[in-house]
Formats: sequence, structure tokens, C-alpha cells
Amino acid sequence: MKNSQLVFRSITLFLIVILFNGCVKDTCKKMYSYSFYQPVYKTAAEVRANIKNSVPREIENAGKVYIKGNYIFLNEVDKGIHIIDNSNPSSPVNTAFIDIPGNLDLAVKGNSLYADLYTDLVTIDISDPLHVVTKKFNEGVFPYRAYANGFSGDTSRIIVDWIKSDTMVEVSCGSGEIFFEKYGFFSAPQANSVAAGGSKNSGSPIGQSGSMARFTIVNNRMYTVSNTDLSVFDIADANNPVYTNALSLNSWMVETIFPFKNKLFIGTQAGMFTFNVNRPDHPEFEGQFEHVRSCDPVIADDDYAYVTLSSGSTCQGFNNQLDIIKLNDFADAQLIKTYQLTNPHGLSKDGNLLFICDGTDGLKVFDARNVNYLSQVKQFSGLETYDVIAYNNIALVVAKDGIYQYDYSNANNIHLLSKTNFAD
Amino acid sequence: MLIKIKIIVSEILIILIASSQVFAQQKSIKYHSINSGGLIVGAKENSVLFQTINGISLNTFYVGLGIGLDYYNYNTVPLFADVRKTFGNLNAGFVYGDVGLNLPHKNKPGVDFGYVTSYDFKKGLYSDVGVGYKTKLIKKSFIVFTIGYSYKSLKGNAENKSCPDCQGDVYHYDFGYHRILFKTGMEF
Repeated sequence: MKNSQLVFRSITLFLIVILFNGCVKDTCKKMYSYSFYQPVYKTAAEVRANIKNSVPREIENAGKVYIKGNYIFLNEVDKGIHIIDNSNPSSPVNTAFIDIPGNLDLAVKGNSLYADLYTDLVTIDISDPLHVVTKKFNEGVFPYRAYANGFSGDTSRIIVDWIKSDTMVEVSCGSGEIFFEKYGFFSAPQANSVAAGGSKNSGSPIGQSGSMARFTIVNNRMYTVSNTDLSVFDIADANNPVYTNALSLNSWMVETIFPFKNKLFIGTQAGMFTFNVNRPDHPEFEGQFEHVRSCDPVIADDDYAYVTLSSGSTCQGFNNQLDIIKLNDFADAQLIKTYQLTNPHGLSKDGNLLFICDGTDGLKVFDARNVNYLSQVKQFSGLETYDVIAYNNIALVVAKDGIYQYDYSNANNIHLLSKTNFAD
Repeated sequence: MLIKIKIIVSEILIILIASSQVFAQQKSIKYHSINSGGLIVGAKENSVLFQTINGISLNTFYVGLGIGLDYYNYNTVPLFADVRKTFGNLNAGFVYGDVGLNLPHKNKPGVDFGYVTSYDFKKGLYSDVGVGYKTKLIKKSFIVFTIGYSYKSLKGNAENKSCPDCQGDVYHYDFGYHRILFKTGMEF
């Protein structure tokens, strides 16, 4: 009797569950917060008139860096160029800012600074870095340059700034699989990665660029790369650059260009490519070294090319390593050795010292006398590094929070000279 | 939502007041542990839960503290107070009410990137009210069946990043789960 009652009651409870099943309902409120950027336009005439020294600004979103003489030229992504007086590397002074909307890359020869202004090239006389003068605009020479996220604005005017509005909207919870939702419908414009390292060309009128630079100068030519092509500018008359040629690089997802003697080393997501510039206006393809898809800033010396591959970026890829490639035959570059690293970005070499920005592992300095047995001389931790230029016994490092300068005149006593903080 | 919480809290208060009056009259306190598992029937899915409640009884009233694992949608750890009133002695029906915190089981810090970089959920409300039946199994041990209505809530943020340096998309979630709980367990 008791057992039958128990069974009866259990069945009753189960039926109640079934009946109530249709009554229960989950609620989900999903809010999506995003930043909406409204463009601020100016006419081309207004923008050009405004390319001059202005008061120094805080460094917020550092991009490519260039050293020329006692000055550091640091790109503020899409905004312009900071001029930092580095006469005393122990105490650099942010002295001025040049407004150049859409600027990402720069190069310097003599007293002329070349910078992109979205699709245009602007030449600026920096004889007196504190009183710069615009000299020429080459219009439409970077036709593939586009606004972030495919934004299509008023093509008759130039975007000089973005007004940010933080917004929150309610969106559908969809299936409720909250941890596998797709991306939002609008994201903020993203900063390009900060640039990296360079090699020493002491005494040259040409400045020192990073290993992730997309502008570089060899003698009387400036070479620039977009994602797909290589452009040549004749800068024999420094203040009057002439666009002379463009070569298609067959969509190699080009990232960087680095000069060494009469060679150009072009870093792409698929590998490293070498061109000779024996005929300056007609770079000639010489060879390539392919690797897995990854970001790959490259530098070179007489015998070897040094390529860092990193993961965790827009370039995708899963490798974090340094590849050293022998260059005795440019048409048949051979991998000599691979060193595992944490998350390498820019690199630079001066003499026997090889400097590598290893992401959150900071700056690593190696003795590279024997490329088969690199030995780590020093590591500076506690900073997230992107870019380094080793020049004249000063290693200038662009990190997430500022510019660090290290004195390496004594390899046994490499030490910090100064730090220029970025805005929080 | 607020009304439901008020109802649940009111019910529990009534039971607590009633039990306190009884405690004042008779003092025969016994320790009991109720360990159960069960089925969660909800609109989104059916899932399971496990919980243990430990407390004291005085005559027909019981007060305890419980902790459990609730696998409905997002895994959570309910931490709650439990009160119940039994009608009868050996084989008896009872009513019960639970209210407490609903703690997220696991959060993911934003150290990597990919489809979802990080999620960070905060505690919410956990409640459960229902009826049950217990029958003596062996000496001082009972098998217990309950059916109840449960509500658990959870708030949190999730961020998507496609690369470490990219600005992520941030979503803010506010979940409310209404379920029927069908539990069975042992009371010692």
C-alpha cells in the first residue's frame, strides 16, 4: 500500500513538472557597449595650411618611429608626428607636434621629412625642426589607403579627427550561447601596430627607421610599400619627390621594408622577399624565403637576415620565434637557425648586439657573434615592447607605456637612460 | 522580479517566525543533513543540480544552510539558507524555501584572445520554494522528494577580441532563469 502510494505520488510530481515546463521562462537582457566615432572633416586646403609646428601633445597612440640627428620623430597614429628633442638621451624633451591627418609612416633624408597623409605624400622641410615648412604634396600616390573598418566618408574632404561617443544598446540574446557570440557591428578604429628596429648607418643623411617601417630610403630614392605594391620616389631633389614607379607585389600582404646596401628586404605575412635596386627606379626581385603566416619584421646585415615571427596579432599565426637566414645567395636564402621567443616584434642590430622586442617579456639583448649560438646578454623586463632602434650606442625602445632609451656603449653594462611616458 | 523576491522572502519569514514560536515552546534540537540531486526543467534546457543542506530541526521545523552545484546554462554555486515545515512524523509532506546567493562557478580572465577573450560574472540571487515528501528508509534516515520553483539570476560582462591590440566588443548580460526543480535525496 505504501509503495503504491509512493509510486502514485512520484508520478504525480513528474506530471506536475511536465505541466510546469511550459510555464517557466528564462529572461536575458544583453547590452552591447561600443564606441561610435564621428568623423571631423576639414578641406584639403585647411589641412595643408595646418601642417606646421604646434604645441607638443601627449603621446597617446604611438606608431612608427624615426631618428634623425638629435631628434626623434614619432608617429601619432592617424594624427601626425611628435618631434622629440633627444640632444640629451637622458632627458628627451617633447618639443612640438606636426598635424598630419591620416599619417602612419615617415622617412627622413637630409632636411626633408616625408609622411603619408592618407592617400597623399607630404614633404616637409625640417631644417629647423621647430619651424617646419611644407614643400610639396604628391596627391593620390597611396591609392589603397583606406579608413579604419572600411569607413567610407566624404571623399571631398579629409578626416582630421574622430569624436568618440560611448554608447550602450540592447541587443538580442540570440540563442543564449553567451560565450560564442559573434563580433559587434561596429568597433573603434584600431591603431596599427607600433613599428620596430633598424640598423646603423652612421654618418648618413638618412635617418634611422624601425624594422616595421613601410617607408625607407636608399640613396636618392624612397621606397614605400602598401599591402600589395612597392612604390618608388625619386628624391634627388629632396624637397621635390617625383613618383617614378610602382611594382605589384602580387598581394603578398606586405608589412615592412628594410634597406641594406643595394638591397630591399620586404617582410610579408608569407615570407621575406629581396629586391636589388641596382636600377633605382626599377627594383628587381631576387629571391624569397617563405615561412608560416605570421607578422615578420626583418632586418639584415652583410651575411644574414633576422626575421621575427609572432602570434596573437592581426597577422594570425602561432609561431613566436627568431629565424636567422643566410644571405650568401639571395636567390636561395637558407634558414640557419630558429630561436624560440615569447612574442617577438621589432628588432635591431648594431655590431654584435642584437636587440629584440619580445612583447611582455620586455627587451632582450643578444650577443650575435655566432648566429648558431646566440647568447642573451641582458633582459629588461617589466615593459611591453614593440619596437627598437639601436643607433649610436643608444637603443630607443617603443613600449606600450613609453619610450625607453638604453645606453649600450658597454655591452656588459647596458642600462636605462630615460623613459618618456605616454598618456594613460 | 522584485515582487517575486518579496514573495519568497515573505514566505521564508513567515516560516522562520512560526518556527521561532515553536522553539520557544519546545526545545528538542536535532542535527540533520539533507543531500540531494535532481533535475532542472527550464525553458532553455534540462539540466542537473546537486546540493547539501545541513541544519537543525525542532519538532516539525528545520533551518539549515546549503551549498550546491547548479548546471543550468551557466554553472553556478548556490549558497543559501533553507527552512522547511514538515507535516507529520515518519512519512510526511513538507514545504520548504531557499534563498541566497548564486555564485558564478568560473570566470575567465582576459589573458588570451579569440572568439571570447574574457568573461566576468557577478553573484546573483538564488531561490527555490516548493513542496516535498519524505519517507523513512532505515533508522533515522529518510528518502526525500521535492518539487519546487526556482529562480536564479546572474550578471556579467563578456569581451570579444580578435587580437591582443584590438579594441574588444563588450557585452553586458543580465540573466534570469525560472526553473522547476525536481530533487531526490537522503536525509540523515
